[in-house]
Amino acid sequence: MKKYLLFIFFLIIASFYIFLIPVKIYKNKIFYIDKAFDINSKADANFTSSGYFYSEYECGYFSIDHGMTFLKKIMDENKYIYANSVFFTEYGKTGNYIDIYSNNGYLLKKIESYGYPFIPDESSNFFVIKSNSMGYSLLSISGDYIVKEKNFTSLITSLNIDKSLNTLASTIDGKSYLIDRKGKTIFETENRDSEYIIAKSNAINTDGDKLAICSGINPEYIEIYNLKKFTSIVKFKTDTNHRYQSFLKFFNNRLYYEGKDSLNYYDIKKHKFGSFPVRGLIEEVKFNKDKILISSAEKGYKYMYVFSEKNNILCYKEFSDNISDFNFIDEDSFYFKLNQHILKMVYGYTT
Amino acid sequence: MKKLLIMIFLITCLTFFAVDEIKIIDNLIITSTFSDFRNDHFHTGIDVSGKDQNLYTLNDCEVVFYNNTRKKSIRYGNGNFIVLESKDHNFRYNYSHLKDYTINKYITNYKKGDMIGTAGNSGYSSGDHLHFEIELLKEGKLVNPLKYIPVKDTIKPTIKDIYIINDSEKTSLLQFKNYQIKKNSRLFIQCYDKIDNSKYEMVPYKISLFIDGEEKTTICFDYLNKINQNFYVNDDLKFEDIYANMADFDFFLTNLNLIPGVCGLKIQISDFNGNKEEFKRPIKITL
Repeated sequence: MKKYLLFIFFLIIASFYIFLIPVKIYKNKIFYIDKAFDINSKADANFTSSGYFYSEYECGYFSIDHGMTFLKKIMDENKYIYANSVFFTEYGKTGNYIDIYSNNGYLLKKIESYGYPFIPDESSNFFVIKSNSMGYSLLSISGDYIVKEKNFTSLITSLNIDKSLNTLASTIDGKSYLIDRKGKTIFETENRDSEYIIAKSNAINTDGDKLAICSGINPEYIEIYNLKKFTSIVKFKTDTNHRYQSFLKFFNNRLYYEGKDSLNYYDIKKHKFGSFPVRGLIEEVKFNKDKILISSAEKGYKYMYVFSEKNNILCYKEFSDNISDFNFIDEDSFYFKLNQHILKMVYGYTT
Repeated sequence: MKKLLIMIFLITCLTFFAVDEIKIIDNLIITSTFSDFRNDHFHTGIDVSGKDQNLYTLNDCEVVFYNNTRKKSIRYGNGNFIVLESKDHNFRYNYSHLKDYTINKYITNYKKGDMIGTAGNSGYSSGDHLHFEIELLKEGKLVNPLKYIPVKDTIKPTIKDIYIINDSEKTSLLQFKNYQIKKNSRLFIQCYDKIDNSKYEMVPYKISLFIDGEEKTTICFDYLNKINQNFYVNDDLKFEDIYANMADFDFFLTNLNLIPGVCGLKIQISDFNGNKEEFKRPIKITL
């Protein structure tokens, strides 16, 4: 009898767990390929573009849901392209022109120029850098001059712009200048504490209230300035000695900078340092609300990382193919170009 | 024994006084000189032709900056370039338009005579060549690289034309024998230089204007001084002052705001090796 009672008790307990408490299926949130299309597929200009890619010889705009909306390829080796999501420019290697097109291929303006265009991020304005790399003009998308010819006596190493169209220019002689839209220098700084004097990269936050300069060799310094008070917030040595325009960008109260095999940051509010380890040289970095997308390259291999802001790695892939043109679509998806294809990656649950 | 001693003495002397070979490129053929006209700026170095020619350092140097054209950053008219600073911090050298992938990004130090890359056609360039610049860091000047690179030059400069412009009317002093010039006319010279193993016309080193034996103007392309974000020749002449007509080998000399009367005009052109060409003529300034 006791045995039966025990068996019935076991059945009741087992039934309770089977029918009333469902078995938890373990799910893991990962990035997976949600969509892919060939960039050479037929373009349909009726759709609005939500992404783009470009190189010296081509640029393309696409709707991530509907495919290509516009593609431009240049076969002439003496013509180049520079683009962002808003517009693209076509210019001659030694020519004296820059043609400005909208992102659907409509010619906006032809301008005469002796320089090369440079479009800072997703701005609808662009710089024309003189052929000797020692001066610039700032133009609007319609080809009108905002700043006409600002000259330096040293090579420009870095150019950035804020929402008020102030330009931050750094030069190889170690100086950096903040120049307003009238061409007037409103702030100037120089680091002379290193053995080799050079200003190699700069960053300005979009509000234009902070700027940062990476300068010097032996040692290399990064200094952040408050532009409301024109004072230095912090100056620190790095563990690198870059000899090129290294990555430097403000995002979410952090200043991100290129380290040795890592993307480092300085948290301006918390006064703390942190880093995201990557392999090789950083090629592209993109931010969204809480994620950071990094591509890097080393010895012919390319690497793709997605980190959470709290430094958890959410995605890591290695490629022997050519990957480029990374961009977030929304909080949980991004796209990139893999050879002749655009791939959409989505962050979601899978079994 | 005596012969042996003489031999040893000669070898010692040769070793002691041996001059280091100074070269920046395997085969030096200059195609453009310092301060040449470049549409909206001075040419800040020299150009040397050189398809697949190797490039060398002039000093023990540290790499301070290079550009290998990262896809998403500034595209330079200089193309692929490398900037080196001498270990004594006196000089900076800029080698531009290098061939793709010839700059070794892992090397940060070079010894004198080391190879640093290969001449190419990257950037704002119409053929394979090297653009080479030297900056004197302590003086804040770009210097004519021919001061440091010996070049054989036995050809004297050529005067193409000397002309005046008055009320936008151009009159050549070479073509017309009439030497009456209205007061306040603007005097220009078109001239160029050639170097022994190069077919190209180049900017001469020095242009001097003498009136009645007195040196009135001298344009000497020795340095480009950096003053207030502008380059100056002789500390006071800007690009627009010298290339007032915005043309190659066409130099503005002076405003002839002289007292009316006859005076002696002499223009002397010289190159870096001291070869000279002269133009002399009396002129009559009229009201």
